[in-house]
Amino acid sequence: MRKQIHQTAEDQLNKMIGANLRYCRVLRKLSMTDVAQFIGVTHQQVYKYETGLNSLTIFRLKQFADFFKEEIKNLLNPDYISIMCRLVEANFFNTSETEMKIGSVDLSTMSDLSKNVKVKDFQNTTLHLKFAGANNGNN
Amino acid sequence: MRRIYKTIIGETVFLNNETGYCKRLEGTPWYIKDLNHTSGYFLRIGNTFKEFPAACFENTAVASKEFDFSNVKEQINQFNQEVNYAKANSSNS
Repeated sequence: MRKQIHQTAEDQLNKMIGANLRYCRVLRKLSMTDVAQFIGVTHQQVYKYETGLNSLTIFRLKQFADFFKEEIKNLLNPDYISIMCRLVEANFFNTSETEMKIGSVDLSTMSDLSKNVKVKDFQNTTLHLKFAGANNGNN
Repeated sequence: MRRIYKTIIGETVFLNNETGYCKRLEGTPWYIKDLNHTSGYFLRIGNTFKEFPAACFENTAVASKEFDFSNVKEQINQFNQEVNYAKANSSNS
């Protein structure tokens, strides 16, 4: 019984982290293959991580965080997608660039910002944060 | 079997009910769209709408601390009712 409860909790956590990883990837306009090449796994394995079919080790999570230039705690935050969506909708990030430059964002600050976010306030704001995307990773 | 999650480009295409009935879940950034008799959960990224696995959406919603996902279940039920009603109407006519 206890094992079942733990398995359910683990399953829920895997799926939540998977959703965050998928969001990170699509936000940066990367394919599963791009991510897989950097991480050193197959794209099928990335699919399994993103859909929560497989658990990530701490090492893999660190690799994903490094690749996306994202903090591990953000990838573990169930509100990551909602907060980031609000900021993206409000043009907080510079979306005009082909490669989106999103880096280590402190979600607690971002969360406070996103609550009162107005499109107008952030129209002229650009965050230039480093992002080692697929192109940079290959260089 | 591996499922391929859809990407729909363009707001007008996505919001057009002819490509599948859709609705934004209030208070959240998520959209729900009817895709060949199954509900798909989408997020908007720029001009593109990306589908996410249903389990990922559900577990993100369940664990959310800051956002109000309390009435989401009700909205999804309402969405399913509306979809079924629309289908029944179209099959009758």
